[in-house]
Amino acid sequence: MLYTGFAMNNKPNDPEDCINLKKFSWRTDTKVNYWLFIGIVVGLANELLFHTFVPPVNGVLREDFLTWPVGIRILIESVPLLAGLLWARSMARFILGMDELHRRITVEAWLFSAMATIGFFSIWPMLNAAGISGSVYYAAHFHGEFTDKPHIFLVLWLLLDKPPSIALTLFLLNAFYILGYFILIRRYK
Amino acid sequence: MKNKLRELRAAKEWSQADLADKLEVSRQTVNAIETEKYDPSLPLAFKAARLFKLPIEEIFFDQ
Repeated sequence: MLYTGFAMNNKPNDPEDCINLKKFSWRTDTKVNYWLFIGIVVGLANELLFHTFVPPVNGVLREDFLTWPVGIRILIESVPLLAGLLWARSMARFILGMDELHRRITVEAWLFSAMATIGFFSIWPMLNAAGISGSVYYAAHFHGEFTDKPHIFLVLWLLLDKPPSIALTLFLLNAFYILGYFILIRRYK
Repeated sequence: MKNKLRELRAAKEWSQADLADKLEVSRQTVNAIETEKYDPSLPLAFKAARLFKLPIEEIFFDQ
């Protein structure tokens, strides 16, 4: 819908421009979720380059990373968090520009998203202990060996079989927000 | 809460989108109010009252 400047609080702001494929607007989505994309991509890159201890990276880059100056390491690790905070700021300004019905639904959807994300990370260690990541790990194998190309199950396992990363947190927050929005908007249709 | 927004809008021959523009809300919000799935805030109810030049209680009322 209408945008006249870079600020996200130019009314009216329609949340469906970002989440409903029938109304999707790249322009609006890019303005709202620009920092989300940056956060996920940089966070994912950090995960795969500096924190992976399994094939195909095999820990070499991680050990090398630990020899880098601490300031550089902190800076690299902080980029996804800073991007996440800037995304929260964009989203807050986007919400402030919504009309009252959409603002109510969006805030409720964010509450749902925050609770679902916390719930996911609370239950994940138990699911992991019960063997869920092991199942994903074996699904990543072809004939008993890892494939040369990145495989979706391998990527999933790399992300999930460890303490939660900022990239996964940002991704889950957005995914649960979209789910929550579609659940909550049904009341008004 | 009940309301007469649909009748008042029809009398003016406005579409939901026209009314939404005048009230500075989305068409979905107008639809949700007309179908009584959503109760508007007090500022929005006053804005509707000013738009139709009617007392607020003649547009929005209990049962």
